[in-house]
Amino acid sequence: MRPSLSPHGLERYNVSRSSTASHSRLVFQPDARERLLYGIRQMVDPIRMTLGPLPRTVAYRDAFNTIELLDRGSVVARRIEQLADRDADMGAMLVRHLVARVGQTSGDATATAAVLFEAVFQNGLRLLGAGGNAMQLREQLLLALDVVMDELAKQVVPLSPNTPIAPIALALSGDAMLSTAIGGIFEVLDENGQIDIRTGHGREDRWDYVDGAYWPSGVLAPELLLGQTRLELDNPAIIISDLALREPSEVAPAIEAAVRAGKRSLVIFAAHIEPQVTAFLVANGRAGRFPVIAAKAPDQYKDRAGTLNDIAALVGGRPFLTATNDTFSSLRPADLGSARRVWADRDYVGLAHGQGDSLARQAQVQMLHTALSRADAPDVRERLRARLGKLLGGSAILWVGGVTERDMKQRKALAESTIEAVRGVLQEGVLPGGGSALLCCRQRLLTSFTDADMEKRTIVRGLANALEAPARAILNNAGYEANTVIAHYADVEDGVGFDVLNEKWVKLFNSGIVESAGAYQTAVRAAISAAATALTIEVLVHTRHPETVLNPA
Amino acid sequence: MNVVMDVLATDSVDSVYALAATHNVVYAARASGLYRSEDQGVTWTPLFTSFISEPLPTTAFCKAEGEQSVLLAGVAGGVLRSEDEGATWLFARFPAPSSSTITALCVSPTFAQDGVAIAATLEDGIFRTVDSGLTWLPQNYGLLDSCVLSLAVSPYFERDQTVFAGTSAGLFISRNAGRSWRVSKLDTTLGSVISIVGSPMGERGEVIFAGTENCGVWRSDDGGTYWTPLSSELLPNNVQQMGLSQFHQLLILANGRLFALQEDDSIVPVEAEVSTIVALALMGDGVWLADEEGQIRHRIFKTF
Repeated sequence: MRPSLSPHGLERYNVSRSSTASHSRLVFQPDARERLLYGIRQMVDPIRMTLGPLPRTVAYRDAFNTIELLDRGSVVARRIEQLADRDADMGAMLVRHLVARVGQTSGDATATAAVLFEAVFQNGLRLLGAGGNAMQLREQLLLALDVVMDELAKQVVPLSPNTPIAPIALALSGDAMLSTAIGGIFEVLDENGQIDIRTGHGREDRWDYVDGAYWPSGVLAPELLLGQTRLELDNPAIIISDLALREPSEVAPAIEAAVRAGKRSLVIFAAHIEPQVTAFLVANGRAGRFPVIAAKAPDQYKDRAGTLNDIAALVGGRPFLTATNDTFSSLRPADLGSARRVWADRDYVGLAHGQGDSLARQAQVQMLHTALSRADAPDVRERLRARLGKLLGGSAILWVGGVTERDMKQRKALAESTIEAVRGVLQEGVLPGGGSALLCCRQRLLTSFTDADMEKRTIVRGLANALEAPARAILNNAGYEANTVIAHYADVEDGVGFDVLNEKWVKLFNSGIVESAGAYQTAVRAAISAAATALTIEVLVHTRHPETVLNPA
Repeated sequence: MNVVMDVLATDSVDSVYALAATHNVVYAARASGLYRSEDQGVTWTPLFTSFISEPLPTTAFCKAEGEQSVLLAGVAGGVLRSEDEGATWLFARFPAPSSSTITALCVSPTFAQDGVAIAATLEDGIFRTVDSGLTWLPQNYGLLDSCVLSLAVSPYFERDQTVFAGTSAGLFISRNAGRSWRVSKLDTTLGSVISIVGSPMGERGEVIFAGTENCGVWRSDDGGTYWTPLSSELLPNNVQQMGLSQFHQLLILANGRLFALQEDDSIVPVEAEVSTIVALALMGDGVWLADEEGQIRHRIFKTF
């Protein structure tokens, strides 16, 4: 095969599209960008419909011929798994990946990210078509992105302590009943609070406050419940461990230590229990001599050691760990913790009012706060926040209702993303909604680069136009003529925007038309930087038989 | 400060846990129950006789004023509530593991409208009611110490919804009327916060005073962020209780004796001629004092 020069001066190989099965298929310019843009539009157009308080819906038919109506951008993106055109599919998957990343990080503003990505990409393509350099375009877009982020940061308004959360949750979710429940929860819990979302038993949403902390672990064996659904002990001694209990004789020193400490009942956290120990504890429980709860050492997020340390901070005592070859034979009364109440059922174990040293608990909370402030990975942040929430001494269960099972499932997903977005609001404040935060960035963006050369100013102007895309989508979805409304933004003062529901210009914060600042900033940064990078794509490469590559066996 | 009249005293009965005075009526929460005097302490009426003949230790008390005043009395495991000045009582049990000891009670200044009252317990943290004391629920999110010793509402509660809780490991602040709590910046090594008073008379608005068990009185002029000690060689470190006079003068009960904070921030002893005071309640130009033998006396001070 002989190399030849492409229209852009790049060396290329003439690879036939009908090459044999073992060959990769390559797509060069100008086809590559055209097909990418086609795929991006295919993905973004249905997502765009979901933007704003008056969204349209997207009908989705699954493999079982069930029709689902979707009105959330993140769900639409998740449902579109593959396009028939493999070139276009690469563009669609770029958007899908972007939406997933933004959703995972912040739980909101996914549709904004998709719409903005498409607008920036499309504007960039025009410049490249006019002979622009992709790498310079990317560089200038990233410089302009910094100005946009700076301008967005100036518009952020932190929430005052007693700001009602329900209207904000409504602006984020569009679901009034769910927003009322979420608003109630966040009147009690802060941004780190533990919230369990569970399937309700009716159409309505409700929530319960749970005093204390609990973990999804339960008793070590169902027989230990002695035929009851739940065991409760008041003021028990508590042994924290991840040991395996193999012989009844291993439990005896624990009971002795509890008796010596003046306690009348005992809770043992352990990793595993042998049947003979279960039988011993069941016989002991039936005799009613010395009540014992044997509960699984919690292993949520695969961080058992961290969780056991948290329990020790709550109840006192010290953890007995397999890693340090601990056994109960050396157990002393000072090693025991205590709490006002411990409860356990098949699935959960919980405690209220641990009697550990308050200063140790405060130190553990401080340590987790510090770790959380330094963590970037979403899974690490989730784990740390869950641990912190339990140490703070209270949690909430949100029971999500619905008309059908599918409805409940969708509303649970909506609850999850709304709660995540509200946490972001509590941490990082709010921005004006309706796309107006980005509209306000345009002027500053244009004035920041007045001294730059013509080519750079053209790039910046293109980005300024692209920043209108989310507002345009919201206005079009609500049935307004976007150009007219956006033009009027130049005549109104800061913080004023168009309320599409009530068809009037309002003060956005006062009217509850807001965005989660953290989520919005994440979406804008991700969209513009991803588009800038996507504009540098020159060649698409396909494996001929992707299924063979994915599944070599 | 001059004592101009030593009015009345009672016969010793039993230990006094708390005193409260309002509109010429004084209440005494004692080991034997709750008592009321409407004649400047000449006679005392036991208020629990309508439903119990045994002594019922009452560890905390507060009265919510309004069109219909409500009495709340803290007893083991819950709160007794009366809407008819103690003629009849309703018991609201706390959803707690076992009988909690109530250390303090306070009500929202807008109790008649919002029905919010808060109870502090020695073992189970904070309980809160939003229906004027009929039902109580735990509200301990962010409260990292379940041993709560004192409570106070902000003088600007209607505006800032702030409540303070003193615990064995520092001071906690709620900015949402007691629904959740955050640890304050008061140094946690100072130990137990026995008494808290919020005064509206600071240069920048509210002043918060925190009386500690071993480290004297600390003040914050910025709502609880920055704290400084009230330094005085005269003032003992073991504060028992504090109160605010009708002219917002701080009265401190420490080591059984009374002290007053002057306008120039100096602290002067107040000669009350009562030995080993254990509880106080301020009313008008006077103060009610209970000594360790259970006697209750009334003192009137010129500067009050």
